[in-house]
Amino acid sequence: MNIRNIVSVALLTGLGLGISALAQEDKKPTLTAMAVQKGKTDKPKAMGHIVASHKAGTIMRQKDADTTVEIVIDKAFSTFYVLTPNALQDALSEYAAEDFTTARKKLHNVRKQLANWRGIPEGPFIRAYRAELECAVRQLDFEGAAQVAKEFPGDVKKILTPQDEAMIKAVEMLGASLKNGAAAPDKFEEAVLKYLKEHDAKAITPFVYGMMYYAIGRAYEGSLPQEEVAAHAITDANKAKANKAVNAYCIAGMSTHGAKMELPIDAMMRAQCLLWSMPGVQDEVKKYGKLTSPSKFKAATPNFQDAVALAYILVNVYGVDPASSKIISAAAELYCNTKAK
Amino acid sequence: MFKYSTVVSVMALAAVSAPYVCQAQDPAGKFKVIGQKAAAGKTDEALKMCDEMLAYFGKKSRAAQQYSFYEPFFVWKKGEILRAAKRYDEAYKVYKQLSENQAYQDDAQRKRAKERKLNNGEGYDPYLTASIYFMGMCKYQQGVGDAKSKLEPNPAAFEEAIPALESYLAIYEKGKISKLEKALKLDGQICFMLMQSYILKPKADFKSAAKYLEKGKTCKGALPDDMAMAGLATVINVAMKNPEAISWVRDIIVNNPQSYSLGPVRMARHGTAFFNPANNCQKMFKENLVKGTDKQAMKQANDSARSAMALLGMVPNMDETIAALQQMGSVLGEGKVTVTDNGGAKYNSDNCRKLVSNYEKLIKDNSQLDAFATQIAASIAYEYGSQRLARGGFHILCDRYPNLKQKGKDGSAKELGESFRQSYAQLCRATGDEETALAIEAKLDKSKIGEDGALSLAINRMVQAQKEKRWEDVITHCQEIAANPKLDKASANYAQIMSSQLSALFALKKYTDVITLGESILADNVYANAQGLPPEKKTMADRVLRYQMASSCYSLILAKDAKSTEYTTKLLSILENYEKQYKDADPTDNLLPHMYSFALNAVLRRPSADEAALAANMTDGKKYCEDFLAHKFTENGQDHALTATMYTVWANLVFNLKEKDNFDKAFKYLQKACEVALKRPDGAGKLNAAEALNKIAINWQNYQVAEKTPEAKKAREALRDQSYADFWEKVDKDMETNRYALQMCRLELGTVKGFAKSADKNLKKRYDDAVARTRTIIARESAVAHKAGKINPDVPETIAHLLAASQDKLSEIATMQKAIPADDLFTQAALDIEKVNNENAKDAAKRQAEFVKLADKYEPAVIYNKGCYEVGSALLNERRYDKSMGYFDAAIERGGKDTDWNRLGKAKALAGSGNTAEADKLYDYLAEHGTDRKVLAEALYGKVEAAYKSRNWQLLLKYSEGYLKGASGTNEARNATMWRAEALENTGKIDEAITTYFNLYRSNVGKVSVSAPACRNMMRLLAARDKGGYEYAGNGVHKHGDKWTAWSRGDAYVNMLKGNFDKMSTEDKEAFQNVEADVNALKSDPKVKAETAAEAAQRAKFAK
Repeated sequence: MNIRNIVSVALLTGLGLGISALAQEDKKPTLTAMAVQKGKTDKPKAMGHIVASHKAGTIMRQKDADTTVEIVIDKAFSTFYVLTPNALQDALSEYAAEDFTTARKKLHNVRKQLANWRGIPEGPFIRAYRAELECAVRQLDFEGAAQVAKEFPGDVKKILTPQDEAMIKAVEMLGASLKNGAAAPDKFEEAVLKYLKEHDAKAITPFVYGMMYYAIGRAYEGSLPQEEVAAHAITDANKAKANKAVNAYCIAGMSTHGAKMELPIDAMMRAQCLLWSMPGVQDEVKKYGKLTSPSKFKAATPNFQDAVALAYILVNVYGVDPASSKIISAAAELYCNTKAK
Repeated sequence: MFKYSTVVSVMALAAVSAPYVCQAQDPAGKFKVIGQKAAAGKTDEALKMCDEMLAYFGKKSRAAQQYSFYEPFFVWKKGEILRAAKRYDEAYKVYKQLSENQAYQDDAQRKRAKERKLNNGEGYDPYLTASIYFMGMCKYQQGVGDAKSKLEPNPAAFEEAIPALESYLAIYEKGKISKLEKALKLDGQICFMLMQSYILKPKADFKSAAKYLEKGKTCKGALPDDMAMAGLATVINVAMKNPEAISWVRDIIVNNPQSYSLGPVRMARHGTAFFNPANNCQKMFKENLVKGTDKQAMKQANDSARSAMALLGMVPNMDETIAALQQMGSVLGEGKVTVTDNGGAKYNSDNCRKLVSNYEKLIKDNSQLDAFATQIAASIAYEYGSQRLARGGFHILCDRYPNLKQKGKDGSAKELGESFRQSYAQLCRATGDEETALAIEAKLDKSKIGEDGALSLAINRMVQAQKEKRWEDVITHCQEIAANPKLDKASANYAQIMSSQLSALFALKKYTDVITLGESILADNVYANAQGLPPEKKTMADRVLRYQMASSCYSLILAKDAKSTEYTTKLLSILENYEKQYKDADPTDNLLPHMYSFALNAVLRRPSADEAALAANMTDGKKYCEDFLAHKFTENGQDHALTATMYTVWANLVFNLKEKDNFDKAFKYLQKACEVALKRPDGAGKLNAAEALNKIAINWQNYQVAEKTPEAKKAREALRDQSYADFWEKVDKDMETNRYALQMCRLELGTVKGFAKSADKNLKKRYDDAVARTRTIIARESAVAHKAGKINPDVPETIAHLLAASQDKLSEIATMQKAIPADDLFTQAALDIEKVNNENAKDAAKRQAEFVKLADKYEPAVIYNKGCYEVGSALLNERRYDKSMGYFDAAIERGGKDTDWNRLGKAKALAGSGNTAEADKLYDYLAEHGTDRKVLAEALYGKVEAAYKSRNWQLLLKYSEGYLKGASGTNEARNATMWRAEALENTGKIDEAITTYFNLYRSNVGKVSVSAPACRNMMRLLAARDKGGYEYAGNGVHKHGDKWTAWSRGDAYVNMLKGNFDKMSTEDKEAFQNVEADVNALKSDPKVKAETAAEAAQRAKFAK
């Protein structure tokens, strides 16, 4: 979320003028935002010219054939602020309330409505776009996210920030991991790590970092024989790949340290399932039955302990409903607190 | 506390357009002016104007009445102004007036205000209900106070806030509010304020607070930022003091995402505020985890962890925040334009720059909050036990925050990067990725992890090596750790290192090192001094140490170490000290019983130069058995597994010591051993029981040994017979194999063989049963050995016993040969050998031939020792020395019974093949170590023979002397005597030689092959000695010289045997004739003739 919110007051309240709080100051004219009008492909037209005749401090509605954007100009026309359209604010509220389905629909509509204003850096279009992309990812709808990523208009790529580019790249990686990453997961991992190494870490937010490692995890997981995973009986031959998947998923699980947890939780659930399926773990489950003591638990293999502890964390810290997964439910029941004195 | 947003601060006139009669009384105009004055901070002036207008409306003038519908607007404005000035009591009263004044409820008035399109056509209706809200709001504000304006919190005010807010909420929920109010979506805020009010009021009501917390979930409206943050801070503070409320922290955040999903820019204003609470939640989590066996504590731990994670999720990413702030700042431009966001935060470029600068400083100082948030999250995962998740967290820390620093209280910055890498390496190791762990550790800058870090690194490596049983590595790491100056030698860690090193040495069977290290640990009181080690762990470590030392001593004794005696002494001392240290040993102690077993076996293995020493060892052994039994050790609620053994060993020792007074007790003990052993679950004690019953069966004659009565005899026999019955019915039944079964068969056969033809049906049945059972057992045990690819020497011995008791041996053999699989060559060979022996009992030559045939059928490896000797000897007789040695060697290598016979056979084969030196060595060995007298005798003969063959007369004389002491009447004895005589002759002992030849010929007269050569040699030597001559000694005694004696004896020999000449063999005839010739030759000798004549003359004298 960024600048748009801060000037959304006036419209949110609908009762008065947040702009009444505006203070004015004379400044040299500095055009800080531009609009690209639909149909006109050449030089962008400076908004300032269009509204030159209007009084400072007023809300001006810049109309286009399809959309209206409200702009506030200061006295010296030096700066104008693109206000958040109601529709966008409404959509963003739905997003903030984590009603992703509703939010996506609304954001998609807003994006369409504001297509003509797509060129404004940090304008409502790009804000709606970002939010829609993130919604799709948080809904784990990677195909949908890939579609949104594809729909970004190529003619205004310059407004994409390095964070935006990284996010789009991460979405592409997710798509690739599901499509063909499994064929050569090690190469896929190499490519992801190369990207991370070559790009400024500042551009890669924790959420995007998590997405990339999640993609690595999916690639490795996808390369495992599905019958082994389904039977919770990964063979020694595939143990190395399963380990890679687990480690990548756990990085994804920790990437946002508690924020935007949908993807991290999915990553952790996948890691738990793979750990539960590692060689020897099911034998230990049968052998131990219902664990009764920390010493027995500590004597179990690390994979068994991790599979159980992770399940317990998912249920008791991250609120995963044990009824939603038999494995998690079974594993969490075996948990033993070895720190208890 | 919090700054209330301006969300509802702008309910104001949207438009006023009515003309006025009097400009001075123009309500809209006045209203605007009042607003301007209030905005300019001219509060009193604004209030004065409000009051003036209210006074005006209070008049009954027509104008006043005409515009009386404006009055509520001015009341509202007054309330607003007072509230903005934080004059809450007054504002409360004004709002109360507004909500309660019935005049304002007048429909006509209300309609007039609406018709004016005031407030978008809602007139002053919104104020009538919103005023209730603001009553609550004013009291709420008083309750929370305001640090900026130095308004102290007044918790009592919440008592008044609650009814107003609840009243408003009720109206709100029924929808009886204006459109303007609905648009504000205040329900969430109201629930939030009610929750806080219930928590913060003088007598906190957590139940009601929880109710509103829950209710807030369903509300759509977002809270203003300041309210949300301040409210969260309040809940955190309450939860820190009331841990049962800690889950609210998480619930508030998660249930109101619209209020807490602030994004990086808005969060930037608050971000640092939730880091410390998150850390506190983590601490609470850890504290409760330690109490985790308590369900309540575990719930608390989980609640704390959840809340910590929710708070950590709010910590912004520095880079993301800076980027967003910079973008906002650039759009805001260089001006000081200030905008207010929907959360109530005010931003302008300066503000943004300041925030950017703060966050950039955090980055520059490498103190990114989100890094610490990740660290806390990883720590929580680790504490729960998910090392993989923790590893994921540390991967992020190492990858994205490699230079993180933590500020100390003194302002110094501690670098965390290396310790993160170390932790990451440790987690890689713990999750099976040793390669990555080592790669990281190799690059660690150890100067930055400190001695503590280095110590921790070494300890982690050691622990991992221990888990993977890389014992050599464990020892290396332990030595490295022990040498670390940071390691306090009086610490629990040091004790653990020593214990680990000891266990590794023990696992590697480096027993002398175990003992050395163990002694050093004891001498330094390492475990006793270990601070921080709980007493029960100290005790356990000490006991295990002593056990390992005792076991090591015993292992060295078993391996016949050169210092076995020393180790025996040490072992006994360890046991003694253990007993002293743990005087009242717990009967469930599982180490002490085994230490007793070590001690017992060690004393019984002590070298014993003589019978007295052996008896002393056995007596000591008995003592250890007694001490063991006195402890009454148990295991899983039953007698210890070693108890039966101890009873049995004690009894055995009593029998070996011939302690007659203890014999009956010994039998009781053996019965007890059987009873105790059979109680063990899953048949684990069956072999012990079998052993005990076997001992009874062997030693039964010792029962009531002092009693010579028939009753005692019967009792003995009954005891014996009962041991057989118990053995077969209670023990051997259902056993797949039983090492005592064959011996029991032999013993029982020995008892019943006399019943083979008994008229007593019961006795006959006993015989038949025993025979049938022996067949079955032979077949069973053969099969077991055969399946395992081994041989069981007891099988042929038992076959021999069975045949000895059998009425028809050949038939028995045939029956067994059918029952035994053809490929069980060992048992088949044993049966074949018995067949040869039994079929050709009286025909040695046939036996010889058959044994030779068996050599073609069976390799040495599948023939038992006695059989090897028989087959080997048969081959030896055919001078097939090499082949015979194959059989002898097989038996010698196998060891056990009849080994000495096979050594003897081999010695003969070696001698026969000309390898006298090796033969001699074997003979020497047998002479020194052989236990069988017959073997000994044969060995001596062999040496005599070897000495004769090598013409070593001195040796021959030496060995033949020993041999002939115990041997006589055999061909070998005659040979040895003849050789001895020759040796005497060759060593110049002529007189002895003559005597030996004389005795040999005289005692073997009938054996011409022996007596003839002996006689000849005697004659020859006498003639050669030629001592003396004729002398009449008086009393009819005629003494003669040697020559005459030689002739005389030879003549007597000839006369004795000539009558049998025709019956002699060709060789004997020749030998006899040789003697005859010698006699005739001597007869012609002048000296002999002269002596004969002299004797004749003397005799003639007497005749006269």
